[in-house]
Amino acid sequence: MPEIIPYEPDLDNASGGSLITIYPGNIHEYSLLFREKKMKKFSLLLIASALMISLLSCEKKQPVSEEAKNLVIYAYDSFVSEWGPGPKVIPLFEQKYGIKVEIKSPGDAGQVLSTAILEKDSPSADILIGIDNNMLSKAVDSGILSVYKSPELVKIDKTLVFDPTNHLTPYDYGYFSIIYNSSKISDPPESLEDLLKPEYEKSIILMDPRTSSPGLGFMLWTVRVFGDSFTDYWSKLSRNILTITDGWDSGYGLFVNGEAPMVLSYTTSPAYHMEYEESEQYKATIFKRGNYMQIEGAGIVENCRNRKSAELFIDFILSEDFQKEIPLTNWMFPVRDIKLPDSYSTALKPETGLLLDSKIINNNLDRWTDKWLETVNK
Amino acid sequence: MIKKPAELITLIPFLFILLAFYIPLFNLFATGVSFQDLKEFLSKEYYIRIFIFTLKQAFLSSLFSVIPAIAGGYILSHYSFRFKKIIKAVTAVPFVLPPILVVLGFVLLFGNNGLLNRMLMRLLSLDEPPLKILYSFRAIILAHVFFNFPLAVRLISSTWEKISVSVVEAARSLGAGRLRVFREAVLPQLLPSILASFSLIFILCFMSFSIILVLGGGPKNSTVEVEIYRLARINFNIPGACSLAVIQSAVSFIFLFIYTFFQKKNSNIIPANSMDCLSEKKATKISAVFITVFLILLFIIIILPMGVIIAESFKYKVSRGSETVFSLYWYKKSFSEIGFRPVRNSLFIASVNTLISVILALIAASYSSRNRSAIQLIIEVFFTMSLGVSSIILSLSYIKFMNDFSLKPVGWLPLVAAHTLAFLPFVFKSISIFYDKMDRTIIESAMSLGGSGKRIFFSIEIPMVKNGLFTGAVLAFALSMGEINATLMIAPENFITIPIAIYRLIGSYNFFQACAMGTILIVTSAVSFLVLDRAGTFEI
Amino acid sequence: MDYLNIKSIEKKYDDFNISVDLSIKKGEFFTILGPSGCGKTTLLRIIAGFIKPDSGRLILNNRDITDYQPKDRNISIVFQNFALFPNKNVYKNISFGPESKKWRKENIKSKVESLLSVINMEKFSKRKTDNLSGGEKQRVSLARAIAVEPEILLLDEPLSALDVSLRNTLRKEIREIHEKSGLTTIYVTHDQEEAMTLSDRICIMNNGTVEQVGKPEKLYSSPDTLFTAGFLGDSNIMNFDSRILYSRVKEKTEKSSGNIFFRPEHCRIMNGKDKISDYRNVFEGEIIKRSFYGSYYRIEALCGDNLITVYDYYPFSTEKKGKIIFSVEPENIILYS
Repeated sequence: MPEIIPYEPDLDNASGGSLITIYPGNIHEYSLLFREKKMKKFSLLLIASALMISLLSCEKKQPVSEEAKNLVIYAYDSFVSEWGPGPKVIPLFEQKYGIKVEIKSPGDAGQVLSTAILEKDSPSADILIGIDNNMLSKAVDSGILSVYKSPELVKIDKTLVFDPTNHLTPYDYGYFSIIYNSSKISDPPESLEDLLKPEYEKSIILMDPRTSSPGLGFMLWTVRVFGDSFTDYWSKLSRNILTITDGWDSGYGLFVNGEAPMVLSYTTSPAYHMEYEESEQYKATIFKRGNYMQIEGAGIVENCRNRKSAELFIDFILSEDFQKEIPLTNWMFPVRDIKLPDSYSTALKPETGLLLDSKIINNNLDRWTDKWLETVNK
Repeated sequence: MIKKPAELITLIPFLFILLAFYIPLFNLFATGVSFQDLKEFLSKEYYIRIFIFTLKQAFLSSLFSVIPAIAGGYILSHYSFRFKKIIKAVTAVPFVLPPILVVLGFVLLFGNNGLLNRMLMRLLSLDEPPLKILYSFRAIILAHVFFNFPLAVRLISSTWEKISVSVVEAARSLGAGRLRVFREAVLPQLLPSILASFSLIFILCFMSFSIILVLGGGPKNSTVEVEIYRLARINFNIPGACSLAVIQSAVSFIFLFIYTFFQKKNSNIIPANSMDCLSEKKATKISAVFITVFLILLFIIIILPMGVIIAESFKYKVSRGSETVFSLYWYKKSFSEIGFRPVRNSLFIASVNTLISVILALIAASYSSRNRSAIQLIIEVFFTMSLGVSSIILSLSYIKFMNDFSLKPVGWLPLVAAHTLAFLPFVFKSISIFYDKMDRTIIESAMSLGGSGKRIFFSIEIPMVKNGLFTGAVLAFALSMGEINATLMIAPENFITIPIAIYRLIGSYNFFQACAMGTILIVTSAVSFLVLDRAGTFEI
Repeated sequence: MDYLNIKSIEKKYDDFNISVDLSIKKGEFFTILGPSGCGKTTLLRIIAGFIKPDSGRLILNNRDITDYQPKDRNISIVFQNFALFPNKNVYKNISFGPESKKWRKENIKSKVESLLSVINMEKFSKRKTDNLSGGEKQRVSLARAIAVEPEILLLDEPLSALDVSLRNTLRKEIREIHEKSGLTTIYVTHDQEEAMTLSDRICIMNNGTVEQVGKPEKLYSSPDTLFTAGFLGDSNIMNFDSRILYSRVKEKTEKSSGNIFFRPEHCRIMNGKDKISDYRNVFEGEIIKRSFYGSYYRIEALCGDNLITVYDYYPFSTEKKGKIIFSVEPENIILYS
């Protein structure tokens, strides 16, 4: 027989709490977790910390005050990257003017702009970096930028001042170019038409104008040269394209790994290989009718909170301190006429830089892109 | 009325998802989505073509991931062979790799100048690369299989292990042939897991982006996600992007529902008791051939693309024109430039994310399990819906939400919140599977024996879902290690993680260094999966 | 004195309602018997506290426990599928309850050890429960439930997952444990044999309501309702206007419709020597099936439209086929209107 051993409840350790509790009632429901009193503190702690994470991790923006002097800059990712100009030039500015800078990247240049557009009503950023000539009109029309004419502008070549309305101030520029592998191609193309040569079948890596700025630049290049018949050019070019990648990085990666002997990039690309690999294997091409240009600019955000500091920063990007860092970090030409690194001997400058009027781009881009898509999809 | 702290705790995961996902999303949609746009997207031929293509590639990718996974699932559940655990762990790694690394690995292996082509050219003395795999539709499928096959294999083999042998033997003894036994006794029990993995892979491929563009050979293969990108970041037509995203999410939602439904059904399979379970066999001669073929394919498609990245990271040319030698140069260079910061940050974010995700998912799954099955289905879809929303839209919704409510991200906490949001679905799933299998009467017994809620939760429930916690933790950890989109967007200043370093290195011409970083990521993930396999099973 | 009083407990579902009034005495072995879907398990879960009734009260030992949490009720339950804690060994399974109730360590130890000896499983103390056989699992489950010295022990079809011979052994053990411990036990089953052999009292449930409560013998011999009559044991139910050769029942009542009920063992089979006129309620039928049960034949015969079961005891008086004539004493016939 089971011996029934009487037990004496251990009163010291017994949990408190009355026996009668309201039972919430649901078929499968049972006593919920952590009902004991001593758990309450722990639970509240948990709730508090969870709320902190989900909500309070974002603190309320401080109202504009003297202390909130941090200059907030949005730039594309490769600008803020460890290998980009950001870490070099930002400390210089901070030191020079005693202004603390917060530089952030929401992604690529497109996302810099779309973030700023989303935040239009109460902007967080003071400065946008990386809006180029192709996005110019979109950016100006959206009304997120304000006018500022830097006194330093006189120091640069007038043809580079790509925004006559002065919403954007140029800080560097480059020329799109077909880069080729000289160990595979002895007779490089000299014009867009040359790219159609039958021996280049599946030899060119391009980028998609919908997702990449070199891709957009190259499409506009063909528009600039061929006008509305650019689609004829593309339909002939198709057989020579190996692939059209989503971004410059993956496309150039394919090229360096030997997937194709030609890739769309900038005339400055060979300078990188010269500087770090002492290699002249990769060469840029200059086309007879000129190469399409990219001019990158920075602008002050309309209604920003640190107008004064922002103006100082725009002046700063035209200073020699900033400009001399551009060639080896952003791999573009500086807008100031300063001495370039030796490796830039490989970075060719075409005689003609091609551009399209930004208004025309804005009005036609959608139509062109659709036509382009239709052509390459055939 | 909520009176008890315990009930408040169950609210936390719901509040979190609401705040981190639904409210920002609807906040964005409220300003953006218009009927006009929806109608236009659904009627324009161009978009219809894109929809059809997106569906087609997702369907075929899922199909080709699942079919070989049935064979793989059979082998993994029926045979034991050498290095099985390591092979299982390594094959799970692709699932957590950032797409850019996958593209790199594929190019290094299958490309015109890739390892396979160079080997074949030398062997057969050809001038032209013989394998034209990349830059075509089949490359997309292959890359998606690389990503998702591991998932399907795991899910199917773990179900197969539970199928009662006696049913199969009974069918055999009644004179049914092997094929018929499979069709009538095994397949019906296996089908829910097959369909569940199919629909999950479908959702993941449905949102695919860069793999499709780069490996597919260009814009003739473009998906809805690419169009959303174009609308949001090139045309700055955010309302349009939102409307398109609504359509995209609607499709994902359907498949999410199917997935959840079948996954729930899958858990209804009565697990065979230990005596009735499959015992792993040593391979016979015929099956050894079968296994070898499978392993070779696995090696080429899954392991080699990672192997070439690792190999690349040790290559270095001392000076111009010299031979490439084995060297740790790229690792040293990375550490001298950026130190241990990326590794440290990645480990830190991944650990915090893991801790929070597991706690939130555990609370949510525990709560869900106490409801009727119809409500459970709703809760599960509620927690996994974020899988079906475009990451471009998610990031826009974050930005808008922060801006509209004047919130400013501070430090790394918002980043952890974003990671938690992104991976909570996986963690939640892996835990809730175990809750689904749990016998409620065990909990009821404990209750009637006087066990307090706390004691039951910690000493009965948690041990019973222990494997799910482990799976969830490792998934959260590994996925978090590989995450790039959210990290790029909301990481605090100067906060660099391994995937960001990879992305930035590739963006600044440093391919070898990127491979070195990629190697660190691959090894960390493989080790976490190995630890997991030691601890228990892996199921999604 | 009522020990557990189930006072007008009601629970409504979409397609099913439960409405029960019951009282159970201290130390009683009380069985709830009914077909599947009759609501017996739901009632048990209401008693255990897993389901909250829509209305009504549960009074246990003069305490109203209706709103108590399951853990505060001091009612243990044993499930059909054992429901052992898979992560704990045999010892830890049994000690879970006493530990939850914060017993002293040494008391827990001696309690678990004595229970292990009661179920003859001293050697299994450190075993994982996965490796136990079904019968062993159910013994552990039983020991676990009584370890907390509950005020009521609930058993939810504890034997139906086991095979027949094991069922018989364990049935005896359950009864023994009950007798020795004097625990008030509520046992749910659909197996009438189990119910009759084990119980002090049986409650027959049907469609969410109580049909009849009583001692097994009483329920068997004089069922209150036609349902009870038909559910418990072999029984014969036929229309009042069936073909009856000679009946006193008919003389006694004025009714012309309704059903009559009698047990197969109360049928006296006539042989050639019997004079029909000496007997009342004589039936005639055609044998359609005759099966051997050792001490008797079970015969199914068609009397008019009714299928009737009759037991033919030794010395046997029926053939494999042919006519059968039998009589039933009036006191063994119950009339339901």
